[in-house]
Amino acid sequence: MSSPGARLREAMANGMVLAPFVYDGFTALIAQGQGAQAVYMTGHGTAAQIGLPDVGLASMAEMAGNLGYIAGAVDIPVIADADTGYGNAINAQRTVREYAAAGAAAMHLEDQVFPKRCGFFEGKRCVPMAEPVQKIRAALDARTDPDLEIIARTDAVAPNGWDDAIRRAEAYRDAGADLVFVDGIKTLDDLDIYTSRLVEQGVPCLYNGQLLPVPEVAARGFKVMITGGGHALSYAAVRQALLDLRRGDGVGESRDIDQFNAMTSLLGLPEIYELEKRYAADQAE
Amino acid sequence: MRRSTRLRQLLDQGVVLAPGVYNALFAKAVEHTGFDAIYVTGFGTAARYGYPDVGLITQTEMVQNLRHICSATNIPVIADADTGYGNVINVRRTVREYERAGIAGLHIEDQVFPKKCGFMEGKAVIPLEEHAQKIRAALDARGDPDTVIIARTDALAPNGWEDALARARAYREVGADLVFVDGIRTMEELETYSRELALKGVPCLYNGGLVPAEEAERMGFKIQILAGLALGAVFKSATAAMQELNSSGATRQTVAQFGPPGEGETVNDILGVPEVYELEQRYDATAKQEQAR
Repeated sequence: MSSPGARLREAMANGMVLAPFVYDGFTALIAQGQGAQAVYMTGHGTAAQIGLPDVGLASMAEMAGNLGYIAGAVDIPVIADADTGYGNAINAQRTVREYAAAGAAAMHLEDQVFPKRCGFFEGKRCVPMAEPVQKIRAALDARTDPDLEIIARTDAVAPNGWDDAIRRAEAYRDAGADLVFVDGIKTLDDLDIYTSRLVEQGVPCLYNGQLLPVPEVAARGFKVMITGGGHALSYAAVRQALLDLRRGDGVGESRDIDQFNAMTSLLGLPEIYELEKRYAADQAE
Repeated sequence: MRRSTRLRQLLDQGVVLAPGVYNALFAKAVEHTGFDAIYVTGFGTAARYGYPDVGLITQTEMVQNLRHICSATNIPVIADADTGYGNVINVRRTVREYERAGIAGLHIEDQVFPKKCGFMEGKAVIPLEEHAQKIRAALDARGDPDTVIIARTDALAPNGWEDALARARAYREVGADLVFVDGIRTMEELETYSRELALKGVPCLYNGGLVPAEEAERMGFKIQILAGLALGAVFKSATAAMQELNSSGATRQTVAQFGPPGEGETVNDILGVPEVYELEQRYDATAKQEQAR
């Protein structure tokens, strides 16, 4: 079978790839079960599920560990958040190798100072452009599978403005990044600038957000879109269920057998029962 | 106060209602919505790692998850310890690792290894005497005498009530703090559980939502867990979001269904982003120079 990176490239050849946010094996399986072409492993969600805010506290080992579970759970390509690469160019090279081993199809590296923070938080700062250019080159050199996609992210819009963000995106692309990703797009005006100054200039771009429906983002020429409810939606749903429980709602009902069966099927229980039969001791020759 | 001691206090006050979660974010949500205790589900932990609940998840992975959950919260955590991940010797290690992770209580069941979810087909149990010894080993292994050891039996489905009751009584006899008959599917079964054990002085845990907590308390139960609460909510909402994304290219309606979280209750709030900003200021290098001046 072709590598995850090769499969992602194949999918991208047919149009924009939509990768919904997932943060664990279960949400990845749900996305795949609903026909997703790819999934996106969020760093914010990965940190959140171990109880940490997205400010560079979750380590590379924790990120790669979570990626391994997600990539192991699904057959579709996984695009993974690799933050700053967790240090300098040398750290970024190890990150590329660990992410590749964990099963990534693509990964993005950003130009924030370490420790980083979520692309939509206040107080972001970027390192001078030459450093991330070198980091992208180092990441590209560290690949053993040339199809693993290296996505260069810039966080420069908020702290430095659009001119610097464009300059950086172009420089990262010139250094060989497969895609660029301008993060922190908060308004339609920002999205218009992103489209006209990069996408329409032939730079392959990733869009993170939900300012427009998927088909409209695709029509603008983006190569990849990452979006969806992710862990924030899960949190809201769990919180709602907890508040309902406090009010006494949602109890006194019989078990939802259909939901239980749908969940266990998604997790592969029917296959386990088959395997148990196939490898049962009384089936030995 | 240790969380184990706190759990024992709560058990003296009435039924303890512990919603089931499987990661630190949802555990924080339990604490923030005012519950007294958290239940950590093995089914959910396995699902989080992408596996069905059939004994594929290791003790290490369970402990890792518990460490994050206990670090992120302050209320008592009751944890699923499956079969104890092996024999009596494995059980000893499991109890110690779980205690170090910070749990207040745990349950160990009498299924053969590898186990299955309590509500799945094809369960099988080990001999009663063998599990009684595992419970004794668990009790002896405690570094904290207040750690609550819960003996679970899965015998109802494969062997029927007579065996399940005999087992529950035997596990209580060797010193289990509570017993837990799993796989209760109907009101009739719940009433039998209540009548034959909970109302006869055996401290019992009920896993399910057939009755509200006040009713569970009247039926004599000490702990009620809703093991599938978080997993079910995630399954429903994430599936709905994907379906909306496929049909209309967005997830707005699904997200709007839950409304905005209140003041101080967003994901970033409960994960402590405001505290991180404060710490950054306190330990800022320029602030240090100003203090020195």
